[in-house]
Amino acid sequence: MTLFLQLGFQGIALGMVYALIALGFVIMTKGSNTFNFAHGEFVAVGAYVVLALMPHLPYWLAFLGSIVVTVALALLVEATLLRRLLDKGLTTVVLATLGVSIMVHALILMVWGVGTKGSAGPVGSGTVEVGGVVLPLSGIATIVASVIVLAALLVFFRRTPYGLALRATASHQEAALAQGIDIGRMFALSWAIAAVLAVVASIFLASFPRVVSPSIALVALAAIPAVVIGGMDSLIGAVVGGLIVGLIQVLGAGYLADYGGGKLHEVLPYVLMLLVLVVRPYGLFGSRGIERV
Amino acid sequence: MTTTVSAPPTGSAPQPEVAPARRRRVRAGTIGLVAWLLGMVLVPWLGISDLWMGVGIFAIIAAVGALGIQVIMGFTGQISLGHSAFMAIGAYSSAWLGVEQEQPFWVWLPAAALVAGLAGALFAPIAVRIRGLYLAVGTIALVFIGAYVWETWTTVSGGAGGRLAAPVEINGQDLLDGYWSGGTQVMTLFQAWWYFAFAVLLVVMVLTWNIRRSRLGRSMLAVRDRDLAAGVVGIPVTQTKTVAFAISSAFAGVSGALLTAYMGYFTPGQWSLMLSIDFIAMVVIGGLGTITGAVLGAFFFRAVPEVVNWLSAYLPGISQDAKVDGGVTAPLLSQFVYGLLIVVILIFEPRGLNQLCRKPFRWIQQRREGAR
Amino acid sequence: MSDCALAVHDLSVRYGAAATALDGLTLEVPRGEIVALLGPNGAGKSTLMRAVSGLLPVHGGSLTSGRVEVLGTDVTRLRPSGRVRVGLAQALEGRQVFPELTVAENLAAGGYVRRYRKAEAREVRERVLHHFPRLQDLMDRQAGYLSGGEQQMLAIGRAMMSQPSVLLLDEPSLGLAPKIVETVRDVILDINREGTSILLVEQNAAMALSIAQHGYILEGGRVVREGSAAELRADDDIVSLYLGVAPVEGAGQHG
Repeated sequence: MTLFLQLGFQGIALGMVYALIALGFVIMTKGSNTFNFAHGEFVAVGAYVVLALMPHLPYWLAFLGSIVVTVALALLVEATLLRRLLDKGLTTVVLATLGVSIMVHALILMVWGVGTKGSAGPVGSGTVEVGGVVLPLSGIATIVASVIVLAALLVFFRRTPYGLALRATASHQEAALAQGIDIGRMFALSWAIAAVLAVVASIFLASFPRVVSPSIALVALAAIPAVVIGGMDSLIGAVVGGLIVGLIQVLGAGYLADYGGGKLHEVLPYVLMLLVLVVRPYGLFGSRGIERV
Repeated sequence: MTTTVSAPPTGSAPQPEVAPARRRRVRAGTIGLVAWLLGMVLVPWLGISDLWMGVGIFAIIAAVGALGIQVIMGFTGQISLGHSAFMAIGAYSSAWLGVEQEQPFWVWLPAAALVAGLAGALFAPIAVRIRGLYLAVGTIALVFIGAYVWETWTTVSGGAGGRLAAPVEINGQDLLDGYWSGGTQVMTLFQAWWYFAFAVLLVVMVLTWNIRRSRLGRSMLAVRDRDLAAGVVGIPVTQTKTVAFAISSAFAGVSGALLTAYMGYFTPGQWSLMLSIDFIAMVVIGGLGTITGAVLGAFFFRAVPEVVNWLSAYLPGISQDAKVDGGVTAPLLSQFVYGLLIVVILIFEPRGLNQLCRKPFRWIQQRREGAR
Repeated sequence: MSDCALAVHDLSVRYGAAATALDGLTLEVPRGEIVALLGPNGAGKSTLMRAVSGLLPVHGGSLTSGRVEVLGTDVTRLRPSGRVRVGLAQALEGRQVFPELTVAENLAAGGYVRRYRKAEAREVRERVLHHFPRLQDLMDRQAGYLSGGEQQMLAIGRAMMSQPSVLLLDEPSLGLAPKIVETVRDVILDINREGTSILLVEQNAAMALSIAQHGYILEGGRVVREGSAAELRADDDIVSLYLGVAPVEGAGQHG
């Protein structure tokens, strides 16, 4: 039971990280009608910049600095590339973001190399014991921070004019234009929000016991099953999908270590993604409208 | 299946587009095709270095796989990022047949197509339910599930260390040793492999061309252009997509089998998402929906990394080896340029190299007509 | 010109390389009036609306010549958002509400460019809802679940939230039952009486000419006839061509 609680807690912590990344995917997909395959690399950039700034600045400034850099990168890609290609069809947009992903990955390796670096997390490796269950501080920090970010996001979407304008744009672009909502600005805004979420996710993805390494982008791609399971245009779906994937991975790693070569937990989210698609081709919470971009 | 057997190719160009000025197009195309065929036959005797011959062979093999992507994406309009998984299936089934079962290449090569094609047909029931973006993203699962299977199923894959590939033996000679006759080497490894791979590519090209011209091909285009409406006008959408997936996967299987046979040895790690992306880049950048585009894209994207590698020797500040703590190395630079080229070409000529290459010809044609 | 709420001068529009959709079209909506724009399918009515509101690029169209003025301000080079700020609002053809948003949120989105403060927003909303008492009870309902008539009310109400001087209405009677068309007609009159100038595109010529002061008839992207509503109503050709159309029928596509 203790093991289950411990694993469950870690699963939720990891799931929240996936949820943040998945939300980024969904917000970009809804806001600007694209699927950004380079988002995993944005997460990597976020972690590396925090790590690079940490020795010179207080942690929160390093974090803010990373947000500035990552948001700038996202806006650059959105403005120079995506907005030009939007009307060229799904294949073009998908390939373009894949191209960006390759470029950013190469740049990261040029700047920081292939080696592993330290942890970029805000808290160290300490633990707290609650009723016999040992909980790592990094896990607690992850859950607390993610819940705060999710709440802020909820308030933004429900209570602010920009949030409303974003939702209106996602709902019906031409009608949004007719109300005088600047669609281009909304595209940029959705990419900026996704980039902020990527940085928050990145520091926890690179928290104890994990460290920053080039493979962090690949780890971030595990949020893709979360996006599909939840439904590509559903914010709630992204959170639920993220938690499902996080729990599957951690519980799978804990209980299925003796089966299937001990790596079963890595592939389970993808198997589940296919199963969900068979039953519900638009994910658990998705709507049909998103099938064509 | 709805495939109607169509007339054998009569040597006209593999141009799926039907232009108003058809006769002239076909003639220009025929000249182009003959020139290309002639060039491909002559290349091994032009004294090209082994390095570039190797690049060319990789390109030919890649073109086979790219034609597979062309069938599913270019003709049928279904984005699949799972291509590398089907290549792997072809590779492992050919290796098992060719090494463990000691079957000749004319058994293992068609078998690779068959097994991969079957796998594609098995996946199709899932794929036909999913559309657009969901399909593109969903097919990623194949790559990751495949990677897991190859790493775990060590009796077939040899585990992370890899395994031997099926040898191509003609008259009892392994082509990887070149081709010998009466104690003298008639062809080097590269010359022999060039012809072997080229022969396979020709077969796959003719097949693709026939598919494109058949009723099946027209059904595919109808599905691509109006997925939901196609069913209304009497086109069997599910069946067409299923067959397209099977054919596409079969070509992938052939490409995977050839690739590994040429390399002689292969590991589970090479069937990555990046490989799938490679093929999508080839057909989109080459020109979506055309046979020429797939071949052009394959040669372009196999050549680019080597060209960058070669150029980087002349550029200052670039080291040739990977470094743990960063720095601009030749492989990284070529990776970066690869991504950059995709992006730049998409922005400036989204219809691909195929169109780009035609521009000068069209210009000449216009001038000639203008002079008349 | 400046006594015009909306002035369109020598407007030509093309979609891609295809034929010209509008060909040197000139038209005026005097302040405080309702002007009807009539014509068969594909005459260019919707294209004119898009050219005026700035939505042409969304449909792949572009202006090849001409000028659009709202209250004497040249808006030809402005984006849709700029035009709304100047005082132009459009209720799109086919209603086009935000289906996932509630009625209240739809209305709020209509006031987006005005950056209302809370109290101000409430006040404007009260004033708009005064025309649409039915919407009052539906505020928390998702717009996608409203009836056709309710959605049309919402679309007009949403456009009114920016307190426009000029309102463009694209086929407000489309696909509505005769009784509801009556209600919509009354609402349009009400809004006009409170000072908003209206350009009304309609298939339902009888309805349009019954409330308009002036009318234009479009064919093949040109104005083929123009005159006071009374004149047009009295013209036999027009009566036989357009007034024969039953109010419920016009469910076709418009170019």
